[in-house]
Amino acid sequence: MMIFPLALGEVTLAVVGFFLGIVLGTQLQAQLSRQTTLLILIMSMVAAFLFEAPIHYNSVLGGVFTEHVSLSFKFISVTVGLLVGNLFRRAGGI
Amino acid sequence: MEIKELRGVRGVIAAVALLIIFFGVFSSFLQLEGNVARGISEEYNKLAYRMAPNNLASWVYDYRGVDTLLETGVIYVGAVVSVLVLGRGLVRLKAPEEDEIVKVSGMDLRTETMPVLLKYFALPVVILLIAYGLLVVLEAPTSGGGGFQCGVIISSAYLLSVIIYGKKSPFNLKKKTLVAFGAFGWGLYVLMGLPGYLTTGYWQYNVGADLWSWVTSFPGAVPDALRTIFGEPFKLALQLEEGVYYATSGILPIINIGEAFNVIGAICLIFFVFIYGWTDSEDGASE
Repeated sequence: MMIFPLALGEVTLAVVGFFLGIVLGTQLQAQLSRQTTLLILIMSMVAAFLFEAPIHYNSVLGGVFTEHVSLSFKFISVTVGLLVGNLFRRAGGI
Repeated sequence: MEIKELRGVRGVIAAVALLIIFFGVFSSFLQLEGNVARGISEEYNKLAYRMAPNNLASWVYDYRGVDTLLETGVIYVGAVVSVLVLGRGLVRLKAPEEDEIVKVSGMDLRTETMPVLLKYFALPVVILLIAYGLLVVLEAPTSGGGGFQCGVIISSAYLLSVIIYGKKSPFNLKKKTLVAFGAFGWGLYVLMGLPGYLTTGYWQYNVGADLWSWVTSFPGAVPDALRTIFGEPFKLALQLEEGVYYATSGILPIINIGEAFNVIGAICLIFFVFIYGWTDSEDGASE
């Protein structure tokens, strides 16, 4: 099992996605309850499992655990970014 | 925005940006004689002829970058003009000014009478749709994603949110935000022409993002670690039977992000005006 990617492209877009999620998350005015937040996170995990990591990704940091089990880390990081952006909005920072 | 507002620092920035763009575009047109040098697609074909990360997208942006830029511009200008015509808020013509402006009242729904399914699941669906849209744009270098698709998906999320929640829409994009999104996206796309121009002499050319290749003459070599982290951020390792090869999608991901923001701004702006109408107030949806 490869932990670190051979090239940075496997990680960069997940980081970019997190920040894009924050940008759009600040436009969300909803006050999410704990249950809703948990529901969104679980659904995002399921979706990430269904979408899988892109072909050419090989490392755990890229979302590949075994040959047939992989997660789309980009989707999870975007969802977390949206929730963080929403928190910023509610905190009055933006 | 009035001309007066362009004085000072903003005016200087606008003038410098316009100068760079005009100089780059026109001088690259002057160099169009002869064969166009092949860019990143040649690398793909040579190194990863069996499986390359989204070979098609790399070709599209190699050979049709400027074309896509103009299409992006058409969408944005079309949206803004449609909004001006529909809203009549900013078009200051003499005859219509005397007429009474038709005021459209925004949608207002009672969320407490909603079906349970919509009440509890609509918001998570909207948030996951936004996430899916962003995933689509981020997948552009490796699969069939792209900026246009992302923009349309996120616009759908916006429309869904407004249709279900009305004025209390949780995904509340305001007029200024939408115009800013569109302008930012278009501007980012245009500026992404600069790396290609500096490297190949052709505007809007998709190039690999080895940011340190032009500073090799600097005293002292650029450390490998620095080159790896900040040099080619989108590089992927392709593990083939023949060995490990590397391919990069160049500036394609950034271009797509610009395109996505442009389309979000343009399409949501049209939705916005159809739903809420256009007034001179700053807040728009929340008025």
